[in-house]
Amino acid sequence: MFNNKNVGEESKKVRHRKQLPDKYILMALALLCVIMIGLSASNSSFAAPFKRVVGSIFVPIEKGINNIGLWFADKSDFFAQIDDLKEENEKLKEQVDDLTLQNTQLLKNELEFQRLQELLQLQEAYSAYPTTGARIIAMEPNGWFTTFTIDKGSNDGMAVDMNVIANGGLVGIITEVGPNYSIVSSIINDNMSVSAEFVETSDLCVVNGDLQLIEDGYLSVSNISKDVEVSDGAMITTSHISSKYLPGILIGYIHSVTEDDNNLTKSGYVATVVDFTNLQDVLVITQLKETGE
Amino acid sequence: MLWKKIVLAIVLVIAAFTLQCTVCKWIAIGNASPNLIIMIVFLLSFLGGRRVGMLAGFFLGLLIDCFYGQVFGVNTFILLMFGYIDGTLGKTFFDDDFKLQLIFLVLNDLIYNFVFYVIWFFLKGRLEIGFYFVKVMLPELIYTFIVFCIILIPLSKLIKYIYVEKDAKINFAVSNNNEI
Repeated sequence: MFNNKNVGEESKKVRHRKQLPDKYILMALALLCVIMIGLSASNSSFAAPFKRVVGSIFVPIEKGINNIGLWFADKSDFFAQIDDLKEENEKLKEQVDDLTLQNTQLLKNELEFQRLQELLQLQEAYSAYPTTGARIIAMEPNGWFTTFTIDKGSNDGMAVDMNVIANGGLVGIITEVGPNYSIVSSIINDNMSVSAEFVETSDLCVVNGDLQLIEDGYLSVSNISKDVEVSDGAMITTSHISSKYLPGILIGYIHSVTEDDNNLTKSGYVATVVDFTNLQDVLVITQLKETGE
Repeated sequence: MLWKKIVLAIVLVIAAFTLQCTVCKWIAIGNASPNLIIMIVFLLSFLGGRRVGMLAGFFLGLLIDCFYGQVFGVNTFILLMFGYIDGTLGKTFFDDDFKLQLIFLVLNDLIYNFVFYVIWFFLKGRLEIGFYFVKVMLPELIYTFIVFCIILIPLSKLIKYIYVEKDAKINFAVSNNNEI
């Protein structure tokens, strides 16, 4: 009994000894956080060397996981296609063998072909700008923003403020570059806004990301001058006065423009051309906007 | 056995971050994906203790800040606090009760997202909290809850096996007996 009591007291002592430093650790780490927040507020690049080290460790892991995922996706596509082919075969049984063979091969390559074709068409549409393809390997962990990591970095010629496109429209802009990865912030993020213009009339406006609207695939447009006549479906591209975005990149099509309460401007919605939910590959425009600064 | 604890914590932190940014986004339904990060911080703190939780939260937050942080240090601070508070909860409540852990995880995820909402949306004048709750927080909460139900038992057994020393358990039982 006596012995037991001793053990009990001892364990209490141990726990007491452990308990106290926890608070100090917390305070020290919290203070470190506050210092980091303060430093990054005054100089956003202070953590760049640290980020580079972390990036060089984690990006290969993410690339590996991504490759495994792609392998599985390929395999599932492959099996799905085999099912299709069986059906197709039954229908074509009475047809000439050569034709059947051709059909199977075509079907097999269809998915890959479509994707490549899309990319090619894109490149033709933006032939004025030099582009390079990149793959999305990771995305922001929480559901509040759409920011993602692509598998090319400064080693591949990427730089901050390069524009990123996909599906024929603007996706976003590179906000950070590491040696082997880049972070792309998409235009649908709630804190993003793009200076834009109407293709037909060259009237200016501002396109803002809005989490509430993007649920339905829209961005908000504001600062359209009151005198501008806007018809639904008018094309909106990046403007020539933007400091970061190259001119003439398609953003989307406008609709439901209404006059603002201030009687000076109008605002409305833009349906984006890019399907942000299924982005896999993007094109990075390797040309930076010349602002004359 | 210290190295075992350190290795497991590092493995879990790295796994949580990399899987969250890749696999969880592939299996996302709409905008909602299971929040592995909050699960790992919660389980490590609740079962492994305050100190483990604090450090896990700190480094997970640091990773998020490194890649996606808009202001370096905010995620670190938030997850550090989660680690500390969950660790305190783990000291106060029985760690064998899975129902309790499920309830705490739900609270964790809700509060985490609410803090995010306040910092990045509410302060910007986006006041429609009902919309953000229904469209962002609730789907993620449900998805996280389902995934947590699946991984809770194996993961908590693993963490307990590594972090809760048998001696400590016996000592605790003995001292409890004495008090009675």
